[in-house]
Amino acid sequence: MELELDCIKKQFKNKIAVDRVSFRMRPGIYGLLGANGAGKTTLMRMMAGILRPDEGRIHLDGIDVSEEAYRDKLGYLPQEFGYYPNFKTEDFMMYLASLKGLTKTRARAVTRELLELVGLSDVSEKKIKTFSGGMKQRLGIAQAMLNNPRLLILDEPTAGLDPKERVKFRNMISRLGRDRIILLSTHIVSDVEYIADQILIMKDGRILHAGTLKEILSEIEGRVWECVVPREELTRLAEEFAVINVREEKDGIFLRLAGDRKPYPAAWPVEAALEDLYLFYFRQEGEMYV
Amino acid sequence: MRILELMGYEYKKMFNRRSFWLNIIAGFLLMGTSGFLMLTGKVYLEGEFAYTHMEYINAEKEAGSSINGIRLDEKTLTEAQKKWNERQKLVPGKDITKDNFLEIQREYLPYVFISRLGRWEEDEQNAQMFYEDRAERQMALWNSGKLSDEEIKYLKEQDSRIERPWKYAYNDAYGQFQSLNFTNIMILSILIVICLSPVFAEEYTTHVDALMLSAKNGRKRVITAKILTGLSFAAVLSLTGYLAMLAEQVIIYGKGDLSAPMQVILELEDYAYPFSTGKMLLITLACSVLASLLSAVIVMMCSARMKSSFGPAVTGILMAFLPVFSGIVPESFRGIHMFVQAFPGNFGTYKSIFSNQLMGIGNLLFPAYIYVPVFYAAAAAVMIALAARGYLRRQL
Repeated sequence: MELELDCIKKQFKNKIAVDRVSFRMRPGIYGLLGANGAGKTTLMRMMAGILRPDEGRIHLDGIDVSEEAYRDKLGYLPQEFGYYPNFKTEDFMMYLASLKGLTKTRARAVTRELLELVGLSDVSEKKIKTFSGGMKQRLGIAQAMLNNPRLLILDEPTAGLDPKERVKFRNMISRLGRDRIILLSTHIVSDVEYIADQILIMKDGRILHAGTLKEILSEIEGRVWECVVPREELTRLAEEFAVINVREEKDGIFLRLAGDRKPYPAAWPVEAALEDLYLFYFRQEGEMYV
Repeated sequence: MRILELMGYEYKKMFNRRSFWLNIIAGFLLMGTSGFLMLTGKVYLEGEFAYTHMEYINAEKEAGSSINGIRLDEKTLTEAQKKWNERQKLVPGKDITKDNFLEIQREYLPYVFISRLGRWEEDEQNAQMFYEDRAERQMALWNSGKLSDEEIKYLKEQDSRIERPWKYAYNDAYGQFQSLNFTNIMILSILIVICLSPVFAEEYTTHVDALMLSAKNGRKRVITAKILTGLSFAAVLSLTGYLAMLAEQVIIYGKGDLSAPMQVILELEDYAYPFSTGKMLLITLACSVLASLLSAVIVMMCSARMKSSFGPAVTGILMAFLPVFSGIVPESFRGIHMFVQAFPGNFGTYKSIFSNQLMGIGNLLFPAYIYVPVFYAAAAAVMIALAARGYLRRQL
């Protein structure tokens, strides 16, 4: 099974949202990282077939994104998960199962199974409008898996989930990712760090880096530093480097920074983490995190 | 099978909205109330209470039914005119009092009904001229409508097919139904507009459209299910509405005789089409339901192309109210008049269905109850295509 994105481009008026992205995906979990406006959602919407690319092709095992057979293999959780407030949980799932082409008997069994999986089985008769944000998000995840999709696209799936729910979600996705392609985008770097087999870094509509966590981190290997500096140095360093962490200490300010050169004579290099890379790449010109 | 399942969910979405039920209940209450308002009230003679409207309607019903099936031939018309002349001479307050009013009505009303059909206004009316006078009125009407010679020839030919002498029947129930149809069409159009305006727009406002469009059956099948839901809902609602209103009038005024020519209904006496009352009702119901279906299609098209259900609702309500102004377009403005009469908020009234203005294609002439439905079918096909395109392209 292979998903191929071939020179995908999408432009909204003067803004290029996705700029000639080419990529191949095989079964596994792909984490898409990028700042707001990087083009993640636009790319995912094109992959879900609800936004037509201006240029390029998307196909799954040779099936074009516009075909019904493609949608038959697709599960999608949009960033803004929609629902009918007056529908009961089970009815909503049954409706979406019908949209996805499941028979009634199969739909009933899968609905029960998925609601159990996401911890909503005891509220299956409740109206969705009574749900908390986290419950709605869990319902969104459940509906995306109704047709046992070969390609699962999850746009910000952990938004609104509490830490316990996020851990449950990560474990669930890890299990599912063995025999299907899962693409998820999130702002929570640790979610990607824990479960993604491959990480895609997106900026200004382009994929800057793609690879395993180790491969990606090698990009900033030797460029993450820690140091304790006098308070008056902070502003200068924040202008020149991506400041990842700041902590007040009695002999000065403790800083964790990312940059191409040693930021301070007494600084020492440390092992890079994904969050360092994220902040290093997505630091805007002149932007300071302190 | 899948489409039926999806239609079931479309109905579920509709029934889940509280506004849907409020709308239906309010609409039917309004129609039902306007239908029996004639029963309420009292009549006073010389300042004294004489009878209730209900009593008067019952007297009319009794009088009219007593001459059901009678032929409006020379003998009947002469007798009717004699009685009508007698009635004209009775002086209110002296010959007619509150005590004998209903009794007098029972005696003379049958002939009053016939006099109304002949539009007798003077004592010296020639009863034998009943049909000739009608022909003169028709010709005056056709000339004022600027009908062509071909149209007049066609209408005369149609008119010649009405069996003479006419068979009379007290068919006031159907006359009242026709009179009320103008408001019924408007109310039902508004109900359809309010109930169907969210059909597509709801998916955008709730953001479910992204889930739908990425699902296997979320495109063609969903569109088909939505359109069929809208059409079936409009058909069932309007048919229920019209039949309920018809039943109400039949309960009040009696069932009359459906085989009598439609011309024995007051206001329809000068129309040329050779239909029985029963056939006229069937044509009226069919055209009214078709108009409701077109209203549904227009609203669904707007719903698919606009961002929320507010826009389609406003557009649809304006469309439903437009026929209120149809009366200001004179028949001599032929093109505009024909267009306004064909408007879905208007088509269903006897004036629009049995209009004297005909559509000519080559050597053939078609009355409104034939050409308007054909036009509706073509317009609906285009609008359904636009709705589908609008729904699919909103995301793309």
